[in-house]
Amino acid sequence: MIIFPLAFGNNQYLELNVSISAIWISTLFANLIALDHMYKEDYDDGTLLYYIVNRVPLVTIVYAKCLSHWLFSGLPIILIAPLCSYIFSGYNENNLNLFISLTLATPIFTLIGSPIAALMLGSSSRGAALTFITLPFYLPIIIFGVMGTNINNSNINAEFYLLLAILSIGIIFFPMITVKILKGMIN
Amino acid sequence: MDKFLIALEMKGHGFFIWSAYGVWFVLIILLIIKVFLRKREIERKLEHLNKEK
Amino acid sequence: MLKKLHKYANPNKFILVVMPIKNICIYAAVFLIALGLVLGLFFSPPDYQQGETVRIMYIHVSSAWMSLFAYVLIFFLSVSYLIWKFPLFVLIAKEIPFVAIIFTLITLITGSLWGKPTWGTYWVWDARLTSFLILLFIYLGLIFIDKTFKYNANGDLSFSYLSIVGAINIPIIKFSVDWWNTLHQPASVIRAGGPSISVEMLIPLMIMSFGIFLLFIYLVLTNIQSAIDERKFLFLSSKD
Repeated sequence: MIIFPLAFGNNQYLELNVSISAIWISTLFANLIALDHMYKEDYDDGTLLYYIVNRVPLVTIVYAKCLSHWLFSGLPIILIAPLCSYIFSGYNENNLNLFISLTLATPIFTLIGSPIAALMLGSSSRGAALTFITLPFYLPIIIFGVMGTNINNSNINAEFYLLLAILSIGIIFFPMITVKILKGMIN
Repeated sequence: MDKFLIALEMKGHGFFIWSAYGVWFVLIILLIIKVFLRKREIERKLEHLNKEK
Repeated sequence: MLKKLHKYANPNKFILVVMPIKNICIYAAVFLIALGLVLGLFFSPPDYQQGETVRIMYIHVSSAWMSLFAYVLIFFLSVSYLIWKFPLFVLIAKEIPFVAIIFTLITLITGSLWGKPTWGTYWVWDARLTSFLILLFIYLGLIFIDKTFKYNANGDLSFSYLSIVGAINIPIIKFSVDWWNTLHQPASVIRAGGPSISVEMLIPLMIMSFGIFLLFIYLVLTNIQSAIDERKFLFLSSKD
């Protein structure tokens, strides 16, 4: 995230829109980099098979994995994003919007990513393919998130309600799919 | 001949219409060629395998 | 009824049944597309608002319907593969994205060429256009997942799950013109209360769409045939 103002190559403040885009893109990449390792080690050393054989409920495992992934890739960015936004653009009017939309969007990223990370377990080349396949599913979330961040009068925000709806459906639905996929993959 | 050219012009929108139809035609022909090349390659491979036996 | 269909689940039998259909399809498709082109380009009336540019509709709308229909087909085939576990279903489903992505590309390119004279820009980030672009990316992802898991049993499973997850996009595309205020015009053919465009335009559009549909069926069937041949080749060459 700190590289972005340097990459633009001047010591003026960035435009507000550019700084918001920079923060969102950094969030995305932080998420995608960590996504590759979500189930990989457990699949490779057989821990996942061990869980299934011993009838440990997989839902719990999936929720724990999602939570730890979010704690490492989502939470730090939520915490430093308002500060970064201020450093980039010298403008802190929309920090509350940025904070809310990131808080809603990063768990959705993790939840969408988890079934896709599980899908790619059996294949030989994983890193690039995973990024490529996950990106289209993240696009709508990014669009709504950026729209929500850019709104200046924060009386009513349809985008936040939409993100909240996606999150509340997804928190039930995506781990369920992940469990199905993991069982299919191991068998 | 002039009448024909006027018909092709489509009241100034000729460029867009004809390029859209051109893109459509080229892409569909490419798709058909790709499908046929794949079919012919695998048929040749199978024939080769049968000859070897 | 399922028991009667069981015997066609064998790929070789499927090919035998399908071969005559394939030949009929290609002749009918060439005839219908040629007829549709002639009717659409020279015999249909210009629109009272958009003038002559409405002629792009005949290829734009027909390929758009085709790419949406192809995704619905992939979705149903994947669901039936996951329920009944016939490998034939996923074999068919895997051959569709490559053909469908070309139609999606045609839709996007002709759409932007249509947008320039009528809206003044080639591209806007509008709900319908963005969701169609996402459809293109999902097709790319499906092709990619097929390529990375070549001949791996997990690949079939991954493919069908990914296509089911991606199916959320289809209703969004269909209803995006009604839910958001967009530049793209609302649906005028498939809607409650009957089509709202004139019969002179509807007939070439229908002929064109049916021709494109038959062409699609022909190409997919040819691809399935070569996919079955490829498996045969792999099996025979691994036996030696």
